[in-house]
Amino acid sequence: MVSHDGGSFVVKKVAKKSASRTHGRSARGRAPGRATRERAKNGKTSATHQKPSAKRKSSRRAEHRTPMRRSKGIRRSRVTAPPPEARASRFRPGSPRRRLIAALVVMSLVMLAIVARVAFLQTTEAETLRSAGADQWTRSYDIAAQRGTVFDRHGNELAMSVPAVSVSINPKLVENGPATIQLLDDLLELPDATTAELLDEIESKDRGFVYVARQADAAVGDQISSMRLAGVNVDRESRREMPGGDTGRSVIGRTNIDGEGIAGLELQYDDVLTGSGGSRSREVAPNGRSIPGSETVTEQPIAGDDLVLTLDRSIQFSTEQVLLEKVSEIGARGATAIVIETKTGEILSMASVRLDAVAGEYQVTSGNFAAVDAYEPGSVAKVITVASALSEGLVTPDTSYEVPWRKQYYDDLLKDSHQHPNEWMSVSQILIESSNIGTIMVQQEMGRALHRDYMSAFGLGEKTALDFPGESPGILKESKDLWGSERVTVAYGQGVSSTSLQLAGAINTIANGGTYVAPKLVKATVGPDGSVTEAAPAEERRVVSEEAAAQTRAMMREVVCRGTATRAQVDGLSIAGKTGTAFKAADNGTYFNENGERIYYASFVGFFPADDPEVTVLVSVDEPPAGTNDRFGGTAAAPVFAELAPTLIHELGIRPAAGTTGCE
Amino acid sequence: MAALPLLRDVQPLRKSTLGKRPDLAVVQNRRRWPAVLAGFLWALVFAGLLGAAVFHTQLAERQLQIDRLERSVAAQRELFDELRYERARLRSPVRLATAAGEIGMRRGSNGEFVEVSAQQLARQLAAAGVVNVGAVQIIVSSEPLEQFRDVKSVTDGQP
Repeated sequence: MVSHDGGSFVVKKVAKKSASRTHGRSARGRAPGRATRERAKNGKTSATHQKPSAKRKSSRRAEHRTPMRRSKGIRRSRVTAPPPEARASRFRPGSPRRRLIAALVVMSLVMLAIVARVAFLQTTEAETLRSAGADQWTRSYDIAAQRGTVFDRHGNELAMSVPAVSVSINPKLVENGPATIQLLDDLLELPDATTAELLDEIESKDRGFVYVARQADAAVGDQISSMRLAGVNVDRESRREMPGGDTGRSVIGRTNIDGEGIAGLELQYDDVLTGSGGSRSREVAPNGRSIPGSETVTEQPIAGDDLVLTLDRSIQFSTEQVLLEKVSEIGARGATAIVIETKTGEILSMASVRLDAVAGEYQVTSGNFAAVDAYEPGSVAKVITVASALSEGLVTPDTSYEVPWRKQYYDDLLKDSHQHPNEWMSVSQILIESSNIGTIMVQQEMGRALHRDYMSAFGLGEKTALDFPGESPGILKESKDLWGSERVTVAYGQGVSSTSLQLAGAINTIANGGTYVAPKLVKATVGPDGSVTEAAPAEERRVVSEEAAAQTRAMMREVVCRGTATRAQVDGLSIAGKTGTAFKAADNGTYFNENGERIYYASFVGFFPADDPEVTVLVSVDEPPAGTNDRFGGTAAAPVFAELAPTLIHELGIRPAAGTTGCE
Repeated sequence: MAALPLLRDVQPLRKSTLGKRPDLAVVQNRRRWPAVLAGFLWALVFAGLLGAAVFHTQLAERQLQIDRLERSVAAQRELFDELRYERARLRSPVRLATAAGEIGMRRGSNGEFVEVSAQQLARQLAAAGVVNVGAVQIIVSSEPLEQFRDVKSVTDGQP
């Protein structure tokens, strides 16, 4: 037993066992030394041969031993080094060949282990480790594709994206919360409620991300960034803006806060305008800077296409303004107007205004009611009935009927708008004076089925080619499905419903010489490389003969000059048109509102110059005040047309043929 | 390894040989080319390391320049959009109508068609001055859509 005692090694041995231990060690292949051999021979330890003084010291120490140790006879002795000969014998160099082989084996094993580990890392865990490593030193950024711009026909921006920022905080990292929020409040002009919420978030420190403001001004974002406030983040994004204010808002629609189209053309052409986003990944150092010489992988975003609309920004603005003025003046619920280029079907303006109940003022609507709202067109539809009969050759403008002011048809006693004695009226007079009974007589010449086919050919009862989001197809029943007096009232526009867009397209057919041209709103798209792709030409189809259209135009001109639409006249310009005053179906299923008052839809559709029309305009006033003279198409809608006409003449450069006057 | 004597082959020195003078031999001069070669290699490695450091620095500078340029391109593109927006806003009928209204202008309620004779037209052109072709081209190219298309075609595919 070996122990360390006061800096010298001692061996504690049991005397009886020392010999056998020593012998045992030699038996394991070590040559015992001479002294050891002697000790084994004499049965004594080397201590017996020590000097007397040492022996005394040893006995003195023994006195201090515990009784138990003494009783067992434990004795101590110094270790003595074996003699040089023995050492030379014990520590000889051995076989170098064996050592080399052993070293080779060990090295091979180590190398094998390394190779195995490398193989394991390169195969089984390769992908995991590679991605984990890449995550540590690469940074990927999404590059948002720029949303396309919406232009008018002259390249003026109607809607576009401008740089903006989103400001957010990490409440867990914000230092001096109240001061930080106060600073952000000063720069971003936050609402009080938002400020309070942010302070609560900072207090609670529950969340790691809270928006402070979205789509904030980019310059303000730069200011905030430069302050390097702890826990405040500023990220780039874009904001959809309409530089012309509300001009065209009904048609263009809008996007949500993430820049996705949610209404109007922004929704309809969202995939065209959006483009596809890109990304960039680069290797960065811990401080966030790019590692020089490292690879930067960039997937370029593809900017969205730009839309070039057929709208004219100036005409759109003027249309909205005259509508706003008129509905404000007469106190109507709202109004819509459409201006179509006669020969191409291109829509120059499409406006909807309505009284905002919350704000208490008339505004341009975000909904395109000209395409979405269907209503019974009323007397405007008489144009379709008369033109169809003329085209079929069943009547001529001079064909006359004895027309009473009222007559029983099926379950209803139907009337003209005013009382008159039974009188012989030509087809022209029927249209000019807008006789309901006379129009029924013309329709009966055709038969209900044929009349229905013509109305369908004029574009009623189905969505237009625009396929605008939420567009209504209107209602055009099959002739066999008509019930009661509906069978005849469809002749003058009751019992059938259409949108302003459909109706404008239908009447534009007459202006265009009997050929229907589908309304068109998108003129072209501009690709990412600036290349322009023209939209397909509008679909065309002949509906009535050119002669029938010309005859109808002549009648409509008389409507403006001496019929129900005299307020649509413009000095020096020949205008053809037709008024309509229709009962509007209320939500309660009747034509009366909750106050028991009849509700109306007043319309006027016209085109000019009457001889060679260039532009067709439909104006519809929703719920003009009942009981006043402003409830009629001739008083509510026709003046809007007359207000708008000078702007159209100016913007479109329309020059009437020499010698043409208005109605003189 | 083979040159090392094995311990068992070493014969213990005899006392009789201790007093003898060792055998001496003339040692020839060591050849110096290995030292020169080593020095050259060392210098080569040093120069290589120095070159690598310089190259790395150059790369870092270029990368910084690229980063700066990318930021500059992005900033200029943003500026282009902001200016385009501002121009569109200034040209919008809403602003023009508001500004016109502030100085008392009102929309005309009626129009009158006036025949302009060729002589009158010529006189007006002369009074207004001759419009040169270049000016016309500038005016034509200042159409917003044309300008936008030009910029878009140039920046297509740029980061």
